[in-house]
Amino acid sequence: MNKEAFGKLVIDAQESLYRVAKSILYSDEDCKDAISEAITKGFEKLDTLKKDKFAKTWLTRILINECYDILRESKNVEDIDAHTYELGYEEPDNYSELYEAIMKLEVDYRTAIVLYYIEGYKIKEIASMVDSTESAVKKRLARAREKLRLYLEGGLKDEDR
Amino acid sequence: MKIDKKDYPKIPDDIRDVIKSQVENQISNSETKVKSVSKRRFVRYAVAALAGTLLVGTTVYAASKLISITTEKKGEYGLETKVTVSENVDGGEEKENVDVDEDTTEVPYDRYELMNEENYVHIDISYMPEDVYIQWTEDVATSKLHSYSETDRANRSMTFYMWRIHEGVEYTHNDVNVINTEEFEVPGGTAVLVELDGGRRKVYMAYDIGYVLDIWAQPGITKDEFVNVAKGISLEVATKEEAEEANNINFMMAPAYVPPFESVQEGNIIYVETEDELEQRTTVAKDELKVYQVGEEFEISEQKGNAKVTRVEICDDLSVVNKDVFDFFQGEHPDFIDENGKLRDEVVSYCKMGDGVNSLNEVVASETIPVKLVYIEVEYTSETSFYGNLMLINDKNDSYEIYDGLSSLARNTEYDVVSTTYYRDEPEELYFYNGNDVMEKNHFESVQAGETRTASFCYVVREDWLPYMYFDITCADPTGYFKQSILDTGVIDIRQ
Repeated sequence: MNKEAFGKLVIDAQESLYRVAKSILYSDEDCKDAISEAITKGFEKLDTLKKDKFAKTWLTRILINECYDILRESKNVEDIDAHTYELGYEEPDNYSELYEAIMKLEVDYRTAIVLYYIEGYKIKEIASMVDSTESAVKKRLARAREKLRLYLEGGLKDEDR
Repeated sequence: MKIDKKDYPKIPDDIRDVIKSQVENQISNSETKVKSVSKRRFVRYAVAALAGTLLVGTTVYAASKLISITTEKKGEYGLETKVTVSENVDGGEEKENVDVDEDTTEVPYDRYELMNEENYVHIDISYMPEDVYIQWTEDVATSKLHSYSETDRANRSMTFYMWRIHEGVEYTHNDVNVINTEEFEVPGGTAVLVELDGGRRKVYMAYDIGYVLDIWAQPGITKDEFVNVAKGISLEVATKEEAEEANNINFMMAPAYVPPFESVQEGNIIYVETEDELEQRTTVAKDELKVYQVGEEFEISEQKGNAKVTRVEICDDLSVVNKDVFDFFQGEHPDFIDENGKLRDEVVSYCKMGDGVNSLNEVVASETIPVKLVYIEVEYTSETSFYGNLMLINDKNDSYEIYDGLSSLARNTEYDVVSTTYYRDEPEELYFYNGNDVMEKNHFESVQAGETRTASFCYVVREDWLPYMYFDITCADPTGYFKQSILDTGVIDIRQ
């Protein structure tokens, strides 16, 4: 894939990239940094992309790693989930109830939810993007859905996560 | 519960501007450095461990590290291989390894740090048969070892995987259908040869510099050849600068080995098996799916554009494609056509799987199925993207149902897996041609506002699938169910 084609792919995929970043990082400033870094790395490593049809999946995977890097730089991995939500304290409160509920999930859960239900990736693709197994992704989705249901019904509090 | 894109915040204008400006800068910047190495990250899958007998236990002593490779037999045909690294203290006494305690929430490494690690190794291979095809999983180039026979590459190939093993991380791999194992020394390490039912072999080599090299060999490579290749390999730790200076020739980028998620508990997440299946609709009512005919223009949902299928041809050869595409086919898929230029029939074998531990696999039936080339041209107008997905759908009286594509033999045979010669058991796109250069195949170039462009798609399908073919232009990959985008846009009836 040449740089021009990849550039068009990035522009076409920008909404999707933002949603993926926004599922891991609450702050728009962090999302901007992660997307920017992912685009830079994508162009730098473009000739390592063997199959063009996987370009978007490949770029999304780079983005996910960048998002995790930002989380890790801010706090220890163990505190990722708490930290992510804390980052949102300055954010506007006009997000949808469902988005707010998704953001209360653990980071691995909400990433899986967004990639599967909103971005339409297959389980196998998600597993490769998050360096996990198909079985693990299915479990995350099942548990995430259950937790979402409980959140939306008011049956699960933050401290229960 | 319906989760929709509308529930997610829209991209802010300032981020959109940053992306646009960054893309423009990258495209116009000819100084952009392009690296020729990439990262591999594989997650190895663990299988259930059964009680067994220790076969081999070897410890290699080095200046400051201690690496050990052990294999444990599981049942009759199973084998678990483990490699660990620990500090070598007091002249060779092994320091106790840090074990992952399944009852705690802590693991002795940072998973995400390991994933991002880049390690470079210089690899020297003193012996390699001339006709062997080497698959390096794109991480390395070799200066003198690339002569091989194109026609026999499937049977005479080796695939190399390299891992760096950190202290506290246990490299574990499980093999099934193992009929023999042997241990031998290699320069700077110890190797275990594993021979599998069916003729394939692998070797695990643990080097005292803290690396594992595992190599797969296809059945056409003899045991002696394989062992001699392994014995002729030596590794040295290198730097990224050294690799780049040498244009990566004889250098390999090795990721750190990261244990699979399932082998540890992370944070407070405990994975629980669930029977809850994800909703994937394989049947829809007739009024839920719009069906268009060839030549009929329609609107693509969620995109500002229209499309229509303008041409569908069913062929026995590749005469419908232009010379560039034909050359591309021959280079990429030399076994697809016979000496007369006709597509070869598909040979399908149905296997009952042994568990690989106490029983082996067995072919219970096989059949030969004629195949056809399906050539499709789609005309796109205005702002849209090129996608194509050949679906198999059964048109029933009051519904559309995803067709599984099984033959009558398959329906009447008890089997676990299907083995095919060249083609998959679902329609697989062989190439996508956007009207420019064939080398730009499969990229997602979009059509600009006011522009009309034609893209062509090519599939090899089994002949008995022809009455079930519909074309979807909203997905890039095969789908086994009706995605929402398919229901929103509709499909094109290209049945023959």
